[in-house]
Amino acid sequence: MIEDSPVHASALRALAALSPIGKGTDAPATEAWLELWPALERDGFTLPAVSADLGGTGGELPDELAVIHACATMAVRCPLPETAVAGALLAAAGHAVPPGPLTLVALAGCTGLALAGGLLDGMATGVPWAARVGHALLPLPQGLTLVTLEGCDIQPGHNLAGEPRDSVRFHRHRPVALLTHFPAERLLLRAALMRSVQICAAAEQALKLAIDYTTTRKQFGKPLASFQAVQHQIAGAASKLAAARILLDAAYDALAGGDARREIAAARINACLAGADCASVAHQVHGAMGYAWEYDLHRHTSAIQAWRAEFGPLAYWAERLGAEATAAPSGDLWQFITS
Amino acid sequence: MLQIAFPHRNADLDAFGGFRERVRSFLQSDPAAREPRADCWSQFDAAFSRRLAAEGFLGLTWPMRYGGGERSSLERFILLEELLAAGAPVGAHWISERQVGPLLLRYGTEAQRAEFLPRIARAELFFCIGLSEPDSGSDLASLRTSAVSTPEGWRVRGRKVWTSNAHRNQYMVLLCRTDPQSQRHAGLSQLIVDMASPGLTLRPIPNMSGEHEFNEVTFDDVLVPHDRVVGTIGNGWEQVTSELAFERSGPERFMSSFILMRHLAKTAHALPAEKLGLLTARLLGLRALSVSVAAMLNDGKLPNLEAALVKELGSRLEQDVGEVLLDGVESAPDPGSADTMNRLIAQTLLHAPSYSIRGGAREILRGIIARGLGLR
Repeated sequence: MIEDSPVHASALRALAALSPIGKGTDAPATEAWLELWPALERDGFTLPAVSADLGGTGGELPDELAVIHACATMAVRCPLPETAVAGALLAAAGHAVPPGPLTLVALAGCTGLALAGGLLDGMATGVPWAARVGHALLPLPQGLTLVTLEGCDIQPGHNLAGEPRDSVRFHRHRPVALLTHFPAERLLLRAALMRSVQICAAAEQALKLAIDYTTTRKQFGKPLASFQAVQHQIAGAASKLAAARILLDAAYDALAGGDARREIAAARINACLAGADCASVAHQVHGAMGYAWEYDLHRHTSAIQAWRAEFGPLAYWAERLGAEATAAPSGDLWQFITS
Repeated sequence: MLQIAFPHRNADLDAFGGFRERVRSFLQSDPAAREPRADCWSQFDAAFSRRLAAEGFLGLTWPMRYGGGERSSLERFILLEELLAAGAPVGAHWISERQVGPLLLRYGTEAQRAEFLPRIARAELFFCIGLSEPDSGSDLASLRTSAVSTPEGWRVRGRKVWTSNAHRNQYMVLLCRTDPQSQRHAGLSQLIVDMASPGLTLRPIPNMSGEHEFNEVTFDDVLVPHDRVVGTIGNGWEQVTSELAFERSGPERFMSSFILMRHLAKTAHALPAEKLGLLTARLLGLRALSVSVAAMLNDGKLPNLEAALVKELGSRLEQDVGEVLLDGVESAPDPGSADTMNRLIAQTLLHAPSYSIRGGAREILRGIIARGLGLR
């Protein structure tokens, strides 16, 4: 269980100062994380699953899951998840991890890029935190590519959760490293799993708020939670979340063993399904209150919607899983499921 | 997490790969595999059950002295999911093996175990379960069928409905009221009733597919010997609910339509990969949840809440498979069609309404989950 991990508990404590939850208009400034970053780095939260010789703290994959989950639970907006995953990818490719925050670019964000003669040209889009991080990992057709973002022309943008999603223009830009031996697809898989963890964490907080609110708010002389119409909506959403949650563990277990394509696709699809339902139900049972800026629900639900769109939407992963299921050598779906 | 925790335990199954291969090779050579069925665990085929029994596949987890195999419940999970994945007709023994066996092992007398368990494991006799009544469905605790103690035994009066396969089974485990003054969950008891008893009459209740699975069972002063009481008089409700985690969490709660997905993938019917992928992802999630509950049961826990969640989520998938295929592929659903896909879709559409009712209606399960979440 993610919450049983001591890393999860310590990450929650370390991130508490950055969390806007329960603070209303006193929420920390959006750039407050920059000040705390050196402490997060020092205490091992930024590269939880990277070995010490490559710049990390020598933790295991479940520690990475715990840190990403804790960050989304607290609705803390900073490039901690991206750094953890980019660092793990670099380490897996045998490359030293540069200091400072890192970011990852989605496949869809690289369509305007060309790498020729060892130089990168064009525009990367939807780059998380580009203006605030030193390095980015790109899934280029030639392989996983590490670039510095210094000196690039960066146009700011945002996702629905208010997180920076910038456009970066490269002009005859020489990558720090082109890791041709390392399949760039792994970036896509790891990043999709990262967003799935975040969605599940946010969905859980949305449901917790829904449960707290409906058990205390009274209408028609009794708590909203005493109405079956309310109970059943929340029960249905919680059921979907349970399926998404267990698949996060399945995916991290499979990652430890090597090939996690099937598990990550399943985790991503179920996280999208559960996230959508939990957000929708949580808003419905909150009535107008959930729609108010000063109430915390939107911090979780807007994040869910933002993350559903990033690193391949549900349809992409469903199409991919369906194609892989039928392309199995035996052509047998059951073999695919049980192998 | 929200007080409902499912540790990921799929790896627990890895130790039994050899057993899985044994089940697969049995299924590949068995004639029943030639005609796969949707909702195959409602398909009564005593001959197939006897072939399974001959392989030692019934009562797999029970003690050897009762004809069992003393294997782990995870091996039983593998056996069940392989049978369901093949669409094999396992309905004859399903209830006896899933519920009656464990019930007798837990609450039965030594004489009852010795008399019934080996014969269930050999597929020589099959049990039905007498629960619902004309006025007691989801509100099972309102049941009124009564048993009165007399010197020669218990005298049963009343009526049960929706009793699956009562016309093909030799015995029933009956839940009835043994204390006429009692209310609700108190004063209920379980009796083993010989279906050939005088005073017991059956009336078929064909289901919407036209098949005769259900029955109305009327008890008119049916005599049940004292030694046929299961467990303790007055403890019936607790005994029934102690089996719910076994009944609600197994692979049959999300795989009733899997044979459609498997057949579809094999025959390259024109369903967009995205739709198959979506269903496959949901199945993978449910399978992980179901394995998790099996592992909890193997560890001696009683995960009733978790089991209710598996069944609630699983019946939705089972129903959606029929809908997605109906909307997604060219078909002419017909139970009598020569085309397998047409047959499977028809079977599913005609059986699917029961999936979210049998073994605990969706509304009841959601109520249980809501209680687990602290909403009630």
